[in-house]
Amino acid sequence: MERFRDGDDDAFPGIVARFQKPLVNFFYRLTWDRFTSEDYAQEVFARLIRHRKSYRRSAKLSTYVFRIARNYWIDRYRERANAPKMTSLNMTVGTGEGRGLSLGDTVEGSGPAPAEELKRKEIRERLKEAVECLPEEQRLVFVLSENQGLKYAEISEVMEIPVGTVKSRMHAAMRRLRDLLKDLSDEA
Amino acid sequence: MKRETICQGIEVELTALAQGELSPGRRAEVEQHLASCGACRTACDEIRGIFTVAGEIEDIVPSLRFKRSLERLLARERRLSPERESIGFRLSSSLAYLFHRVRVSPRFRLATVSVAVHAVILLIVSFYVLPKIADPVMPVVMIDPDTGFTPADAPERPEVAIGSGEAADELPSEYPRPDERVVRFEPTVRFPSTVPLQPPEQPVRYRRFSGLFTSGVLSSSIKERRLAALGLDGDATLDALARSFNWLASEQAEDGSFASSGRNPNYRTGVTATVLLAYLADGHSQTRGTPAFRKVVTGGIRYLLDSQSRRGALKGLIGPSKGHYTYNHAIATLTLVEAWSIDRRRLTPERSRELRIAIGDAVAFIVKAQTPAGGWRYHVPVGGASENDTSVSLFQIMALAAARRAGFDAPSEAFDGFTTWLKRVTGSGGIVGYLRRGDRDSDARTLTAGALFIEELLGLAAPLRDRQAKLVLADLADPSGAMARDGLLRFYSAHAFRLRGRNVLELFAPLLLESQRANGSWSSADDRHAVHAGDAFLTALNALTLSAAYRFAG
Repeated sequence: MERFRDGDDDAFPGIVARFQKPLVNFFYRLTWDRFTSEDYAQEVFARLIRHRKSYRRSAKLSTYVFRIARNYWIDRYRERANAPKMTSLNMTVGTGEGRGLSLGDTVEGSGPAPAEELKRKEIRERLKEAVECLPEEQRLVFVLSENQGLKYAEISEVMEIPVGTVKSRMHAAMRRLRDLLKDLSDEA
Repeated sequence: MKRETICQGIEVELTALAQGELSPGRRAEVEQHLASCGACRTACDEIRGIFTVAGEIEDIVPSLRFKRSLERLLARERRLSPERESIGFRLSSSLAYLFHRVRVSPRFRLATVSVAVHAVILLIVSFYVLPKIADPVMPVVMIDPDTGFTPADAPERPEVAIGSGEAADELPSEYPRPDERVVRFEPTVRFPSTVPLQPPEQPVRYRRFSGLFTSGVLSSSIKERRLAALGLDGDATLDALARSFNWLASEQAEDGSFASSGRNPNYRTGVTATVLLAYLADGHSQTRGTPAFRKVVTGGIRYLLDSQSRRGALKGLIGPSKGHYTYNHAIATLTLVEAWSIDRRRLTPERSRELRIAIGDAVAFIVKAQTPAGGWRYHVPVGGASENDTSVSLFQIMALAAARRAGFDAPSEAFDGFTTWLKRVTGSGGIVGYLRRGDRDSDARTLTAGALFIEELLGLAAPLRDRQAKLVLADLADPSGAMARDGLLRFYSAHAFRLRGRNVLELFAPLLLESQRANGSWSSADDRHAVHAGDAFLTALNALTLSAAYRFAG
């Protein structure tokens, strides 16, 4: 990145090769839409080029890249007409057989047990929806940690928040996910 | 709910535990608690289960569409990277961003754009049009009743130098600070012209921050495009240049210099400087270009700097005070200026300062060596002696013009003096003499071409310029004539006519390509001037001549 910052354009393909998949998947877990995530990742690379002079060696490259990605996501998130709303216990969540049931209904209920494979698929789909229902800041922390494998300290640099806040947001995210997926736990 | 039974103080740690973010001590405590608390253990299992499921969601692989659009985007962004964006682009981008971020009505957008357009028009009228109406600039030309200089045919004068003032930083106090405004040569005799100024046929221009012989690093595709625009064989020309640079690199001595292998061994400094200038003109500098050539340039610059006199009567002189040393000094000064100019933003502060001081001393030496008659000769004038020759003088004025363009102080009096000398040796037919007007030896055509280049470069209002151009063209048109044996004539002509917007390279580029040896050099044995300095000098001079085809934009 330093080479690229100093005007060596040939260094940039290496950066692209290293971060294109992580960035696409970072946005994919925020949008669950391939095309949107690719468009967003593309814009992050464009911003990397435009703001390459601002890169400082003190920042780890992955931290720098994901900070740009996070800022871009916040911009887009706030603009999205269909921005996810905070969930309430009365919000419907779930797919397939669980769709249409409110959490209030599903917390205490138990549906019919599907075949194992279908069950795993349903759980994944349910988790996707649950992640989408997380508050914006919790979702970012969850995705950076779970998908990108960043440590709390790295996430704190990306998000520009204390490590303790990362920890509490991660905990809050997990608590909410457990709530949203409670019926699955009960079935098990 | 089960969660309510989870022990307080432990719950918040469970996620961190599942992710391995707990310290060893805290982890042991939590695990010990889990062993005895079923509710917390269940919660921990749920958390781990969620991470497991999340891990099962497959990553997507970027599509081909993404990769292709990314390539296009990168190409576009490189073209529009911040340092290359125009003010117009930035303004439009900012407005677009504003409209994008702030949701405004179309009417508001229209009003904003309208206000912006009117503001720009107002600024142009206020600062550009009105001052011209109130204070029209009268074209300034020279007139000399003796030589036939008249106000007629006065062409438009290009900018000579745009001083950034950067060169003045940390210069010793005895050097005046470079002028920060646009500097134009002002002849001493002024006469308001009534003749409309005529633009060149196909205007070419110096880029704002380019030197006299340098224009930064150009890609092969740009070079080929510009060569093709002049009807030249791009591949063959670039190949010839590459081979010449390879050969020159093999000729460099260990101390960074290039030998004067011709009749006069005292031109080592001048040959070295000319070779370096050829590399610089092709985009190879101390910090840029091919690494091997970068090394050549760095070594050569070191040699020039180390050979400069630091004190005494000859303070500033680059090279030994032997032979016709002012030739060496002028070319070396020109080269140092161009070397600093092309790398000014990439050199270390120490290196930049060293070069600036050396250039300041070198320019001061040129000014000191100018004779009362306005020209220069082989040595610093002593007492009342005032011998001048046009050949040396052309090199000195080129060095001064380059220095002024780069922001160094090159006094207007020095340019005035040269103009006086040039008038004195220019005949009524336009031929420029060597020691006096009327010298009609074969050097006269070379010097006329050189004078034409300087006149174009400095924007001197020389009414005989067209006649001089015809004389030079006549020489160039004869492939078996002087042109074939005069590298300096070709060098001057290539640059003079590029500034005049006329392509003469097509007249002698084929000859140059044919006469180049297999090893990339040119033989100086038959060359009128290079025979004194040797093959390296002629090879460098020819490389400079050929690269003139793509160094000018427009």
